[in-house]
Amino acid sequence: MRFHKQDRPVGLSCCVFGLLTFSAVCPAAPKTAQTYVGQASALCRKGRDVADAAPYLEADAAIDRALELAPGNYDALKLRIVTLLGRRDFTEALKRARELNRKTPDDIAIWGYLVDANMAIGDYAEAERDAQWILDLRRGSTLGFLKAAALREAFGDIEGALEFYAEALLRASANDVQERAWLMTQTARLQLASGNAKRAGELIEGALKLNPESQFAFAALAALKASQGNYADASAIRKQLFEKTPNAHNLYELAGLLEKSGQHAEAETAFRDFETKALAEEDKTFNANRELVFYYADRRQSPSRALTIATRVAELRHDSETLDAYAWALYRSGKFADAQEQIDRALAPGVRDGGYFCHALRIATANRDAAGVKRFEKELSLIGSVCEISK
Amino acid sequence: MHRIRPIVCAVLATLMGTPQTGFAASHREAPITALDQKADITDFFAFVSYDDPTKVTFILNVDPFLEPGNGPNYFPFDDNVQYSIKIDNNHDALADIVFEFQFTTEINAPGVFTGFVGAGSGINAPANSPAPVAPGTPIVPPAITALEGPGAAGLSLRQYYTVTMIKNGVSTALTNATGNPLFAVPSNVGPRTMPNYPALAAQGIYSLGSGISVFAGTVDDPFYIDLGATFDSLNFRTAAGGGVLTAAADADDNVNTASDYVSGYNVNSIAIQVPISMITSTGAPALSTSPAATIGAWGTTARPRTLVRRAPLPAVSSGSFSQIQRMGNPLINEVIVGTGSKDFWSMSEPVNDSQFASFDLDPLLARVLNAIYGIAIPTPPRTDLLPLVTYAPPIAAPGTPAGPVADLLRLNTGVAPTPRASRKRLGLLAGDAAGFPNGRRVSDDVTDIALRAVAGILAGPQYNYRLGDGVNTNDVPYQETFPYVAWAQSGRQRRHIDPGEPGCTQGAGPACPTN
Repeated sequence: MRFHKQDRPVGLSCCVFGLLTFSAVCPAAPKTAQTYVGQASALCRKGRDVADAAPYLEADAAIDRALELAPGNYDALKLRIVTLLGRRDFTEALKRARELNRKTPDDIAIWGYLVDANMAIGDYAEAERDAQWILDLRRGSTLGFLKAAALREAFGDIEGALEFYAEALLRASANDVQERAWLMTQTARLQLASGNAKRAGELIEGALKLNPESQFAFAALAALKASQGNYADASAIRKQLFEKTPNAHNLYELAGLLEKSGQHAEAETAFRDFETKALAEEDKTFNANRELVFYYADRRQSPSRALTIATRVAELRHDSETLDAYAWALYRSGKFADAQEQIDRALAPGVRDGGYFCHALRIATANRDAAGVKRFEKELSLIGSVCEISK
Repeated sequence: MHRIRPIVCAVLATLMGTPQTGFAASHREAPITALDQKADITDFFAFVSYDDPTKVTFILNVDPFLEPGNGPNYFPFDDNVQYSIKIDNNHDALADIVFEFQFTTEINAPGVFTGFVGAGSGINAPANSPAPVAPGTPIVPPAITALEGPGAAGLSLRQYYTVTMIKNGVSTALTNATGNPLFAVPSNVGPRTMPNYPALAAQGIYSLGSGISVFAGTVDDPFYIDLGATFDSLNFRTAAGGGVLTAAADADDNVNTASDYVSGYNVNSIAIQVPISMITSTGAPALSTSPAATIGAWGTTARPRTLVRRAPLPAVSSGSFSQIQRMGNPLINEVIVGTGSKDFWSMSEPVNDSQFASFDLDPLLARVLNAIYGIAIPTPPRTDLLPLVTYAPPIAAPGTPAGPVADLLRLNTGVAPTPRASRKRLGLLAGDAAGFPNGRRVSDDVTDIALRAVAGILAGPQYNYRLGDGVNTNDVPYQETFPYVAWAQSGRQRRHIDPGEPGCTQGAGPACPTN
């Protein structure tokens, strides 16, 4: 759906309408810093929805203009942190968030950035302290619930995360359809992870009614279809997503679904294209290195390449996702004891994810850890997941 | 008794400075408390009891600017707020003794439209009362003359509370010596409903045994200030010297030359009087020359938390309450801490106050005073302001460990109270050893003291400019016995003494100037 100037309701400013629709419906040349800040804000929201660096780079340009017009503009400085997070430059984002936090410790948005950056890097205890501070400082704030929900998920408390997303949804403005759709999709994602496909489907449908353009919701729909074994539909959705946002991650997801749907030749092509694309951005902060690790580890049987990449990433981050990939690269390289150490670290925060449990099961098996095998078989069973990865 | 050296060598300290250009004790000073009035600490007092030098009285006032006539429910304490008074007696800025207060609200007459009602001996339905209410049926209960039992029928909304003392980690419930509940004193609705309010309010003073007394309820706000002029970028009245008092005006503690903007307003108060022997580290009263004599105290409000982690998952953050506000010295958060950090300050522990040093060492308010009045101020870093936030002479005896920088209201319990006739509103600055910043009494003029401290009076007599707002005394007299504050002002009879109105000083004397 494309929005046009004439679609803008009477009484809604260009800036707000643009923000709500991710669109630049008011092309008149912006004159003030705040106009550029508004543009950047809308682009950041788009970036969150599509999970791609491009909107954040555009936002950066708008922020640059804002700061040229008003050096030190506080909103622009805050948005810069958002773009850094969106471009996954977590170290720089954390540094700048800390700087702003020192100046304005009562701004909960900055505490939110700290939560995001610390979670991404793997400093969960610090992230929890930051999120708790938001909950304490502004009781009942949507931001507090959002950040705490993400942490609860990271700690394996899916039910608790759902509780907080529900609280956030209750507080989201009825007019803010983008936010409501995003929250519903987050909820759907967790419902799906809990095995509640029916509820997940209802939520995704609701999200897409609110925001028919949401790529986040379409990605969730693809995951739902795949969970139901409908790989053809899943891959078709993923193909559309890749056409809209042609990044390496989307291509990797598409390739996997093509493979599962029996379109092996197309899958192989897509995987090859993915490799080219991912290698081209390997050294950028926004990259598909995690996917590249699994690609080399599982598809190309090139564990040394996988381990090289995984090791490099793990030097920068120690979040569960990164450590899981690292553990898997070690496993595929035959370093079972090291793999065990890393998968233990990945699971330590409490995360409950079928993929991680599957890796843990394989690693425990390789280490002849009978108790571990039993544990992870049980964990997989509890979340209704099956380990499909070959030994 | 150890004689505290007057003014110049005094401490005062960090008291002021700030991005704001005005202040009002601590009424709505931070965003978090502007949004959460019930948890907003307006003032905190700690002083050796005037009428019993063996005891210290602590008063925690909350919930600012209560308009006495604002029914029908008036001003209950918040059942979901934990009110605490904390005491450090070993100079490490950590609480060794805590008194916690928690309230419970009961609605005794849920069908009645107002919280408090009563008249005379009660009013019954008259002869022409329409059916089904028969003539003679009680309609209005008797006037409220008691907090419980006969005379309390009109108290539909009533609160009782618990007091818990936590000393060295051991929690003890402090209960009414009679075994009855502790009731909070309601607001003074007016003479028909509460014909003898002082007698009613006095019933809210309870003995908890071991020499402890407690009171909670609505009272007159003891703070006084020309708030309107202060917040109008220090636009003090010309008639009051425009911010610089005349020598005569400064010397008269009993006359106002500007309006007390808090006049006619009430506040909710929690007061507790405790034997000194119960709060010193030695378990006994100490001479003022002993380090053990000096304690640090502060008040806090807290609310139950929503935790990131649900039980039974272990939480990194401990405790089921999170602090909303704290207060030791008056005006620190109000006039020292920047707006973007006020909530952070409010929620932080005093022991970590060194993180706010940047606000203390070059207070913006000093520069505002410098800019507005052209007065010379000390050159930063303003170390002259630091003594107030450590244990140091002249409050603490020489040899007392300074402890960490922390906003505590420090009180040398060995200094005897000053008799009423000799009491000075400028406290220690005027040589009154028992006045602020050696603790804080309800009558201490912390506005004028703060202005002068920020202007540099502690750095030397050359910085004494007689700064002041022209309000030198409260609108109503304080009490000389526990709980020392004046009883709540009447909802029907209250009076706010505004600019241009006659009776600037406690309703008497000339009109308050408008300019």
